Amino acid sequence: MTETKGNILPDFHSIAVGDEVVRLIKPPVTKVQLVRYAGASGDFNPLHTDDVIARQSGFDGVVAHGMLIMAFMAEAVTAWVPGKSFKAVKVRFKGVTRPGDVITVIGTVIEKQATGVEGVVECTIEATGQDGDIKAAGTFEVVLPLD
Amino acid sequence: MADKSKLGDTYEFDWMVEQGKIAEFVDAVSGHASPASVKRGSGESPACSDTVAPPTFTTVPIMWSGVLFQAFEDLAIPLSSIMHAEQSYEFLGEIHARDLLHGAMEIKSITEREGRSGPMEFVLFETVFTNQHGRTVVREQMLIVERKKP
Repeated sequence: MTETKGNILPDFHSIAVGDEVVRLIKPPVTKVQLVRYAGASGDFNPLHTDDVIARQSGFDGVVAHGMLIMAFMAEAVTAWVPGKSFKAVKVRFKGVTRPGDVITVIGTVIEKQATGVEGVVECTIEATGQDGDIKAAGTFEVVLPLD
Repeated sequence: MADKSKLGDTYEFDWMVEQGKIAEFVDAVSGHASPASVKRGSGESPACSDTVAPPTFTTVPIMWSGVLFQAFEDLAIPLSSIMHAEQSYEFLGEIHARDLLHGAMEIKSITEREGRSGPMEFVLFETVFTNQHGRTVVREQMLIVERKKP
């Protein structure tokens, strides 16, 4: 999803609990991006593309699709590990993202375990806005070879 | 409030993964105006092309096939009142351009919880995607909440 960096496998043994393994700072979200994401994903809920309807729904204007923020989070993970190592992710959406917001995704190791031939790494993942407000947060799991 | 008689209803659909759709999705997420940058696949699957879909790509067949919007209509939940609360994925296999996916989306639970501004209703959908080789590639869960207008 991003560059080729994520095609290089991190070394399981050199990963420690507490390590910040994922950090991605996105360009500011734009209205054009929301329109592009609506078209790409097929989520045409007008809350994301029509300011008038968004205001009628109690917002100050259009808000980003939660799934766009989750796609940022997945993009950040696959910049660290290849897609094949990315096994699971779960997030809770906590705050709305508006055009102009700069999203930073950070992932931190909370647990690592060698199980037979594989190493399983559990991490927290958080997407925050430029003011440090949490947009979405959860956990993900990657599996790495042991040698 | 959601029509609870729909609990357990399952929506089945087929979806051809197009290379251009993957590129469009990747570009929209990237936020850059640059041309499509799609990953080279592993070549593991003999039938695969070399474009691998990004992790959350299966939102595309769920949305574009119309099954989720149909489910909201069947549940009698207005689109304008829906907020996405949680989303999870289990990635069980890669999805490549030209794969033919079969999706089965089930209304897994309908629950009420007490929120700050009164009762809120949560609907959990689970969708399982299988490819043309019969392999399950993604299992995902979407939890939505019916939001009251202020």
